[in-house]
Amino acid sequence: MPNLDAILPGRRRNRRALGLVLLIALVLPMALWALTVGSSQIAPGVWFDALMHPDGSREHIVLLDIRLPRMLAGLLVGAQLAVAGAIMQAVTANPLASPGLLGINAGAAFAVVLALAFTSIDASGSLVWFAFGGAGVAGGCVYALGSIGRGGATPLKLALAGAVLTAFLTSVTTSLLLLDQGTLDNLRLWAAGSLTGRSLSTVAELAPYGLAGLACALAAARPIMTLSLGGDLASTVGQNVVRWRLLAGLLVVVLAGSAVALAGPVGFVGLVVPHAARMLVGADYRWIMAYSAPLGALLVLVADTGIRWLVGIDLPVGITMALLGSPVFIALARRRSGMMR
Amino acid sequence: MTEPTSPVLLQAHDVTIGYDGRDIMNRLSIGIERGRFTALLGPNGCGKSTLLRALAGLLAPRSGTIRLEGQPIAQLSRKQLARRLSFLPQIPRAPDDITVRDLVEQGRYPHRRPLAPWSAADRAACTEALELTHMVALADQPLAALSGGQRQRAWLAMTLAQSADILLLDEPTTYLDMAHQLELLALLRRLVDERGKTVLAVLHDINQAGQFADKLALLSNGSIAGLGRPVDVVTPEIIRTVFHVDGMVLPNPMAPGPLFLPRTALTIIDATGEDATRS
Amino acid sequence: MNRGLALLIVLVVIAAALSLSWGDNGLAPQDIVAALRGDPIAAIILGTVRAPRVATALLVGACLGVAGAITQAVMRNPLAEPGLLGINSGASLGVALLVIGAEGAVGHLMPLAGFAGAAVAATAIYVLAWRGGTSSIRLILVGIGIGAATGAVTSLLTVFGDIRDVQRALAWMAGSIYNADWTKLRWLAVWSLPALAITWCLARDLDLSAFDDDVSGALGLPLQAMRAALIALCTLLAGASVAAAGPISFVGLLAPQLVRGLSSRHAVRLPAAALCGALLLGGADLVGRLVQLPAGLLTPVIGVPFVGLLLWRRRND
Repeated sequence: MPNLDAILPGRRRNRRALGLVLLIALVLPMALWALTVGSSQIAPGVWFDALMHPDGSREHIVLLDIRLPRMLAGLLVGAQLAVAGAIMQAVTANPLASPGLLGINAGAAFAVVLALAFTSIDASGSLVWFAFGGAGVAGGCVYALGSIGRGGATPLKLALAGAVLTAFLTSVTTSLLLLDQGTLDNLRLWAAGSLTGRSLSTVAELAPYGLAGLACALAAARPIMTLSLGGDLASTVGQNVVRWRLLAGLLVVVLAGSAVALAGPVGFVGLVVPHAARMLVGADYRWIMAYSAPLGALLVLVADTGIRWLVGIDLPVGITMALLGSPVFIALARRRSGMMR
Repeated sequence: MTEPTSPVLLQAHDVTIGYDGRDIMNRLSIGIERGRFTALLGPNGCGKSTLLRALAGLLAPRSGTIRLEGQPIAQLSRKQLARRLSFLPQIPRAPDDITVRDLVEQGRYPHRRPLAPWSAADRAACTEALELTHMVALADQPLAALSGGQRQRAWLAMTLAQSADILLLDEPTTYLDMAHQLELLALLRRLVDERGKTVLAVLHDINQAGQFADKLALLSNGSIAGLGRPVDVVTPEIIRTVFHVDGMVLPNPMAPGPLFLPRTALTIIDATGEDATRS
Repeated sequence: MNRGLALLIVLVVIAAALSLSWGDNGLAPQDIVAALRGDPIAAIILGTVRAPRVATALLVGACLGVAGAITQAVMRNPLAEPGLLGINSGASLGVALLVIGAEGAVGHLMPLAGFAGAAVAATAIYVLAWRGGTSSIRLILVGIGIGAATGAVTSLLTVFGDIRDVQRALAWMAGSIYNADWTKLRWLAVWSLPALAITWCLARDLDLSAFDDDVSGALGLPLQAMRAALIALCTLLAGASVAAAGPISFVGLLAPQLVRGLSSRHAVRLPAAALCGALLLGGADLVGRLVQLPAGLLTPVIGVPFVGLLLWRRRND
């Protein structure tokens, strides 16, 4: 594999590294800002007291039990979905690949609703395995469905297969919810993709999966970049394509599955963020993946908090992302539809 | 020896064509003569396909007019134009499962009125097209099951079934082996000589073009660099300016027309950095 | 006459007969004959409950089958379905807006809201896909985008709406033919029968639409005008279905797929897709009556094995 770092002028590499550091540095003030926004006014300094000496006051409870888990969930979900999208776009060489569009989120969500409706499981640590299973099966189905016919898995066919599967899963999920008004009432918020109502313990139960997934993804950035050259080329440069594709698929399932278990199906983060990262750093997937994590975290956090701050409504983040993301997607489709056949 | 001058049948006058704000060709004029076989040649990316699509009325020029027997084609309806002029793109696409016969019968589309039944003329045109291209035995095969060369002949059969007097063909010989290339060019020659058809085909092999075509049109960077009989156009000087290839021209010992022997390419990659596989 | 078409007709007739006689009050075939002869009880069950429901299921299925065949030709993709034109998501949004947003009894307005939503979404997709002309690929992608946006607004309404309204809206969105009656059927027929007839007259143009732009254009197809007309017809057919029965998925995808092998001509494919769609939805409604679920939820369940079968059949392509 050509070592791009050796070819690139050092200044450009430095600029990319500096940008990454800046992005990561930006996460902290945004996270603190997210803690201050909400229906009750809490002075920016109180969070420090709450963390160090929680005294059970209302302010501290609001901070620790409501805003902190929400903020952490937003960061995790954003980073996980964005990196999952970047991996999918690299491995399938497909600008439309993303967990939301290719039915992976819908699969995970369906499996979780299934588990909640028919089993007595309600611990997030157990539900996440259903999410993994649903994500994996849905991803496999979409890939199989999108690969039929000549030309293999083209971006367009994969997107269509994803749309078909999502329609199917949504309709079955709806029917499960229809069976029982209680389940419907409990789950409609989660099914729309939401960060509210997560407890700190839920976040703590799910975070290890997501963080491990992120770490593995960044560690595997180089072989994933090689995969993006396409199967034939990747194997001629000596890569075990089957093994790495499987591993990449597993990473996507873990990242997207645990994100869905945490926040329900949130679309468009995985699609839009890698594209934004590509605009910033070019076609090198190692940098795209590294940039996607903080960019995704920022996007979800800022969108979720911004809506609360601007309108004062607690909009589920899945809806916010779809309302923000679909115009971007349509613009992308209008501009670049030629290359997606 | 004097060449009888045929009147111009299809004419581009002063046309400027471009996509997305970029001009592919600027104020180009060319006349295609009636009852002649004209070959269009030029290096990759010089605008051959663009010119052909514009002449077929599929791409509206930004300025200038394209006339069929003096009438601007923009004034004709799509069906009227399709009855006079047929066009075969370089890589035509059809649904995978269509059979050769169904494909060829699509060629009758411009001749059929809504809801009119299949007529004797329709049937005759399709049968003849299948026979001319030697596709009768393969008529009930799905297109997807054919080899590249057979598929190309199936598409040509569809174009012939259209019974138009003008045929515009974009690289019809590309997927064919040498025998089928010669056979196809001979077929085009026969269509011109025996049926009085007018053929304009993009070809790559200048010697084949010189052997089979009446006229060569050489296109370079969106303008006509030479138009005339093969002997007049195929000269070392013109070839060098158009194709950036150095070589010599000999008389063809087997057929009328010149023979060009290339020696070296003057430039490996052209100035625009154009991908060599595109045209 | 094509043998496949004949077989489909026989199957549809059998399904209709079964569907007429099966239900809470079973009717033997002789009861149907009795009803036709004027037996009042049999005639009431048959005439006011069963018959409109069966007829609606068959007609909606036929409309969706034809709408699917149009979409697959215009989008040039065997996985395309009318839902991509925003029909289902637009209709759902229209109904959700009505049920959750408006006060009072609005049940009778639901079909209208559904139709309006479908038409607005399809128009938006067509307009946004226009860039000096449309292309099938842009239509698909913009369709996916609009679907996501309308879906988001619908979820917004379902998240904040009153739970009973939400359940009513969701029940409608599941798609069912429970409360079909002659009035609704008449409206459906008025909208859809002319559209079905016009579509069949355009069978040849549909054949050519499935080719690429240059080939169909060179053969004389007025491409942009025809595409606009076909999309309008598809919207009319699928919109009328959605108004009558709610969004029903998979029939529009499967019916044309299943009959592809019969012929590459739309003159045969369209009636075949109509019959196959009628069979699928008629069957789903029949099974749904037995297991107490709306037909719209059963079509995916019936559909998935078929998709698997198609995958298996085309595995070597």
